[in-house]
Order: sequence, then C-alpha cells, then structure tokens
Amino acid sequence: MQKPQQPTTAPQEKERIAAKELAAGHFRKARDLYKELCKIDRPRFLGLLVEANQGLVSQMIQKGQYSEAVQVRNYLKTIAPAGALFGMDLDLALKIQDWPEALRAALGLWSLPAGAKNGGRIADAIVLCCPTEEEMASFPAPLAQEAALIFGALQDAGESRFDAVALKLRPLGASSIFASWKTFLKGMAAFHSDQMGKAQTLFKMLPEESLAARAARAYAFFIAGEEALEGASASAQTQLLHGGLRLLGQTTYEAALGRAQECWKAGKLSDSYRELRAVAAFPSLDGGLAGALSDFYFKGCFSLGWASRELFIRHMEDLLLSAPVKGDQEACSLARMLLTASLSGYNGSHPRFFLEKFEKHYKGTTPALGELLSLGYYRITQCLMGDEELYRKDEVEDIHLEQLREHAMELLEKSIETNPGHLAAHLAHASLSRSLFDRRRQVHLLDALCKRFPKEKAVFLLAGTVHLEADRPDYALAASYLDTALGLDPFDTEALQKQAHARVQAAVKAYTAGQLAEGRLHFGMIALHHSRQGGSFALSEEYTQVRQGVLETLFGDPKQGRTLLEQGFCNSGSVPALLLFQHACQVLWAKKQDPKKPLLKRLQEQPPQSAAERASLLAMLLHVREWGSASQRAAWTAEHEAVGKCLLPLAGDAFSETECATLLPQLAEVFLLLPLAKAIAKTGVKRAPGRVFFQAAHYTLTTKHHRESQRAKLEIYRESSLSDGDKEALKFITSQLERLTKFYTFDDAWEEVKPARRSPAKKKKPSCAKAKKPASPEKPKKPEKQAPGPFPIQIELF
Amino acid sequence: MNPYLTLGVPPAAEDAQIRQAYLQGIRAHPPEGDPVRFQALTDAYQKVATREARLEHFLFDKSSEGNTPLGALAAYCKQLPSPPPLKPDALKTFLRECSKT
Repeated sequence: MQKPQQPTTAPQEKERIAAKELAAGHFRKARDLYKELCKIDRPRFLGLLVEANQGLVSQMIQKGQYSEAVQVRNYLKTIAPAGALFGMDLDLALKIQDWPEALRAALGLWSLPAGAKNGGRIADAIVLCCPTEEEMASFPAPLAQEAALIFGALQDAGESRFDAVALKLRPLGASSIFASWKTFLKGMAAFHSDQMGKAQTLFKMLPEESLAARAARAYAFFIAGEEALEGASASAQTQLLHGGLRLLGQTTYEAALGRAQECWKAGKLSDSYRELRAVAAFPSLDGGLAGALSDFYFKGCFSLGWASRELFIRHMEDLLLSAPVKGDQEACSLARMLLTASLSGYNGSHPRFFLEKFEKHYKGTTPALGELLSLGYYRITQCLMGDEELYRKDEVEDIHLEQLREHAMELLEKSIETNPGHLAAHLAHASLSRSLFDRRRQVHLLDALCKRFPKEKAVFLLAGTVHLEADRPDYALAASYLDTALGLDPFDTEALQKQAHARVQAAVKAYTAGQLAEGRLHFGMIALHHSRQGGSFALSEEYTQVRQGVLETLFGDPKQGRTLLEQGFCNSGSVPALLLFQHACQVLWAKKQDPKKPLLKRLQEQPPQSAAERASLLAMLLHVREWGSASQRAAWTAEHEAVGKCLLPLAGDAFSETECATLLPQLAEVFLLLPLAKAIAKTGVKRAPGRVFFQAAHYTLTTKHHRESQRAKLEIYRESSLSDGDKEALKFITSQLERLTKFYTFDDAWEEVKPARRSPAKKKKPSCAKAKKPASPEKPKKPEKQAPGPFPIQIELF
Repeated sequence: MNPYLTLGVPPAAEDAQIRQAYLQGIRAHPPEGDPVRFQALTDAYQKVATREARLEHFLFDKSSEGNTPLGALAAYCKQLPSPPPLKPDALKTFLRECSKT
C-alpha cells in the first residue's frame, strides 16, 4: 500500500517560515529550513544559513552546551567565510577555556575593519589568554606595545611594585582597548596601598559588565564591607561572594556559603548552619574566616528575635546532647554558646552542665582552661545569688536559701580551685562566708586573702568592712585594713568614708577610756587622707574637727576642744551647722551646766550667746546623738538626724519670720527633718498669721497623705501668693505642687480607696517656751472626706 | 567585631602588646581625622585590654558582625588589613575564574 504523499511546501512559503523562525530565535528550525532552501538557491540563502547557525551556536553557549556548539561551529567553518566567525569563535573559546583558540579569534576579530568596535572584548580575551612575549611580539601594532605594558604592569602589581605599575600604565591613553585594565590596575595598586577611597572610585569607573569590573567586585567586601551588599541583586551578591572568597584563597566555602545564605534568608536558620557545617574547617574557636562565621552563628543568634533565638538555641542544644558532634571545636562552640544562653535566661540544662561539656572538649591553651572554668563557675554563682534576691522577695523558706548559698559556696570553691589567682572569686567567697560560717573562720579567710593579695585594694576594703559591720565591731582593726586600702588607692571614696567612720568610732572608745593619745592618733590618721571638701559636711575635715572637739571638750583638753570646734564651724558651710548657729545659739543655751538636768532641758532654759557657745552646743548635740546610736552604721546622716532630733523640741519660738521663711523650703525636702519643718512652719504661722507662705507650708507638712484635694487647696494658696506678690511663697508652693504630681505613691493611692477609719487622737507637743501662746493663727480648713475613687493615672514608681 | 583583628594582634597577646597596638592605631587614626576607625579601635581595646576582659570576651561575648552569613563574610573582609596582592599566576587564575561568572 502506498504511503500518502506529504504535500510539498512551496519555496516561498518555506522562506517565509524560515524568516519567521529566525526572527523568533528558533535557530534550529530556521537552520533546517535554510539548508533546504540553499539546495534551491545557495547564493541567496547561504548568508541566512550562516546566521541561523551562528544564532544556534550562541544559544548553545548560553545553555552551556559547549560540545554541541563546537560541532555546529565546525560545520560553519565549512560554509562561512573565516571573518564572520571570529566573534563566535572567541565567545566559545573563552567558555571552554581554549586559550590558544581564543587568542587566535581575538586577533582575527581585531584584523576585521570593524575590529576596534570589539576592543573591550579583545582586550579581555588577551588578558585572559596571557600570551608569551614572543606571541605578543607578533601582535599587530599598537596591540603589541599596549599588551606588553599591561602584562608588565600585572607582573609588577603581583609583586607589590606599585610605583612601577603607575609608570608602565602612563603611556596607555584613554582610547586604548586596554583602558579598563589600566583603571583596574590603578585601583588594585590603590587598594593594596591602603587607599580605599581611591580604589573604590577607580573601580566604579569600570564599564559595568566588563571582565575588569567583575574582577573589581571581588575587592568590594574589603573596601565597603556589608555596604557592598546593599541594593545588590542576588546574582551580584553571588559574584561578590565568589570574588571575596577567591581573594581570600578560601574557595572551599563557595558552594556551602551560598546555600547557607539562601537558607538564612528563607528563615531556616538551623538548615543554614547545617549547610556550612559541611565545610571541613567550620566551626572553629580560632580566628580566620571559620572563626568569623562561627561567631556569626554562635554569637549572632543572641541578637535574633526571641522566638527565632529560642528555636535556634534549642536546635543547638539537641545537636550537643543527641547528635554526634563534628569534633572538639564544634562541641566547645556549642557548650560555650549554651552556657551564655543559660546564664541569660534560656530555660535548658543547668549552666554547670554546659561548663563541664566545655571543659571536656576544650583543647586550646590561650586562654588557659583553668582560668576559663574559674570564670564560668564564678558567673554561675553570680547568677545563683541573683536568684537569691528573687527568693528573698518571694519569702522562700530559709532552708532553701541556705541550700542555695551552700551551692554557691561549692561553685566558688571550684572557681578558686581551677584558678587560685581569681580575685573576684576569693572576694565573693569571703563575702558569702559571712552568712554561712562563724566569724572566726571568716576572719581567718580574710587574713589569708590579705596575705595572698597584698596589692589588691578590694581585699583590704572588704576586710575592713567586715570588721566594721560586725555585730561587735572592731574599729581599730577595721581602720588598719582600711588604711592599707587607702594606701593602695588614696582616692577611693568608700574607703575614705569607712576609714573615717572606723577611726572616729575607735577614737570615741579611746577617749572614753581615757586613752587620749590613742584617740588623738586616730584623728591624725583620718587627717592624713581627708581634705577640706566642698561636698558633704560629714566627710569633711570640719566634721572630724568637730568630732574631735567634742571628745577633747569632754574627756581631754577643753581649750583644745573649743579651738577645734570653732575652727570646724567657722569653715563649714553646711546647712545644719548654720541652722544651729542661727537658731539654737540665738535662743537657747545652758549657761549653767547642771549635770543633773538633761541636756535638752538645759538648752531650752538658757540659749547660747557666743560663737564658742554655739559651737559647744553642736558638739554636745552630736555627742548626745552619738551615745544614742552607738550600734548604728556609718553615721553620714549624723548631721540631719542630730539637727532633726535635737532641735525639734527647741523649734517653738526659736525662729524669726525671716528665718522660718529661709529654712522651710530646705527642710521640707529632707525626710529626716520633716518634723522640724512642721514645727518651724507652726512657728512661722505664729509669727505671721496672715502670710500665705506659712499657711501653705503648715497645711502641706501636716497633712498625712497627699490627696487630690490638696492640689486644689494649694492652687488657692498659689493664687493668693500671686496677688500678695510673695515670691518666696510662690516658689515654695509651686515646688510642693510639683512634688504632689511626681511622688504620688502607692500609699497615697491606697488612701484613696481604703475604708475610712477613725483618726488617732493628736499627741500634745512639748512647748518650747514657758511664755503664753499667742492667739492661734488662721488654720486652713480640713478638706472634706471624699468617696474612694479609682487609682489616679499618675503614679511614679521609685 | 573581632577585637584582635581590629587591633592587629594575635589572640595570645598580652596587656602590653595590646596596649601598644591600640596606641599605634589611634595615633594613625585620631578621632578628628578618622572617628569611625578611632571608635572601632577604642571599642576593641576595651574588650581585651586586661586578662580578665579577655577571658570574659572569650567565654561570654555575644557580639558578632553581619545580619546574614554573607554579611558576616563581608564584615570579616572589611576588618582584615588589605590582603597581599595575588601573585601573577594566582592573578591569572583569579581573572579566569571571574570570566566564568
């Protein structure tokens, strides 16, 4: 049976279809059609056949089908003139890295009339082919000379002869086909000469897709770091990656780092780590690229968002605990990361477990393992003691606290065992031993520490503090330790304060026991380290003069004592000291020192008149306070407490109106002096009943809790002071209004809502003078009780 | 940031060597002339100036460069002193590798 015959397409139709296929880029189909058409009319269709084949070859090169492209090219050689194939030959030869063929094609392309248009391609090809000197000599002019200059400059650049590079490149003009390579080499010379700005400028001048520009991208990371990635497309980033790794000589990371980057950007953080894990040198505790990438994963995770971080750390913990680790480096890196995480709140295994894992796998020598372990144990202890603070607040039973401290002690002992020179661990151990051991053992520990660390101030400071703050303080011993601490650091404020306190206390004991020389020695030791200070009166030389003056007056040489007291008060600018000068000495002083009468009663009856008497009064008051609080801690609030307690009974009728107005704003700010401020406000109201200032002050200071209604009342007083033109009153009332807003405490809020209760009966205050009281001034009305309301919005926690 | 890299000292360097490197660095990059580099040197120095600081840094440092692995590579390259130029043969290989991409 005969096959049905295919209808033959007319040549015109074939031509039309072939042209259409050629235009659409279907080169294979177009080639087949033109082959057939060439059989009909070869001269007419040969050129198109060549074009179709050329297109096919280009397509194959793009697809990486190099061997097929070579076959088509070989066929083309039989039908096409040689000159038509140079460009295609060059592309193919470069792709398959056939350098001799590429050089031949490049030179062939150069020989064509339009060869100069392909100057860039030709220059790139010549650079890649690296011709020998003999080959270059056979190049046509001016290629031969220019190529020789470029290769000479490349040689000089590789051997760091950058001045020679500049010289060699000078003859090359802007019209040379090697102009891009000239710019590249200049940029390279600038880069290796640390002229990053110049290098960056030169590299940016290169034509975008030239080989020189692609080579220059390799330097981008070294010049601009992460900025080089900004705005770069994915393919550009890949080029940067490859270039940077090539310059580093670390091409083994190319594939893995690319995949790791993709995983990371897709949010698959653990997968990203796993990709990089395939590289032999990764991870690493050492430096280099492996170290930098290891840091990224093991430290960079701490800057992730909470959820991502927790997930990643969990994965790493599983890797350490269950999966076989890659080696000691990975195990150490994991253990270190997890130790840090667990100390920062990560809820996994105990930090001690990770530290022990680290110990097992760490093989390095710098830093030394012992020092690292010591630090690790110490930090775990700190974390535990932080927990103790929380437990105290939660009122955990003492037995649990005891167990916690014992555990902390055990860790500190491990810390000291692994690094006996770890000072912080020793200090923490000595501090903690206070709560666990008896005093004798603690003192023994401290003495041993002092011998071991004779140049460490902190040790002597701790020893001094322990003796100072004991239930039965040994002031002399504390002072000797603190003197040593000051000898090591004369400007340490804490040591200065404690030393002065210890010495003063020791001096009091000595003076009281009749050991005057010893007492004077103690004050002499204070004077060695302290100087006239413009700050706290209690830290100043004046204060110690006053203290010594007190003791000399009572137990030693009264004349010397008086001299010291006068010196102390004349030089002092302290408010409480001035207070006493102004008030107590003006009004009250016991002229006859009757030992049977209590001091304060004597002061009430007979006020001091002269400066010496005023000074003595302060001395006596301080001494009274001193005996009253012998077991208290460092008395740096002595001035406030002394004035507050001792002057209070004296406040009534002791002050003039001007003095009241001067003192009230200062006293109202000091918590310990509030009772005194109230008394002075009351005195002020007596002195000037119509003055809004004292009314407002009395109202503010005597109201128990701040309430919203007070604000309204104070606003009324403020309006009155404005209309009276009383600036002092205005300033005071404004400050009280600000306090009302700022310091609205929980107590105040509770007062708003708690059920009303009966107010306690007011106690009668002792009168300051026997004289009849004047008519009571106008008292502000009590605010009406308001129904409990919601908590106010403005509550400042402090 | 790798402080040792920034200062140009090995990780086993002692206090004196680190301090010297720091002083040399800030002389070359004073705050008026190169404030960024000055600050980087100062931050690096503070991290590793003493033995205790170095231990702390080794065990508990949480800082790292880069937001992605590629960013970490870029930051590492930026920190390095400029690498020595590729030798002619290596440069030839490098350029031929670049032509493939």
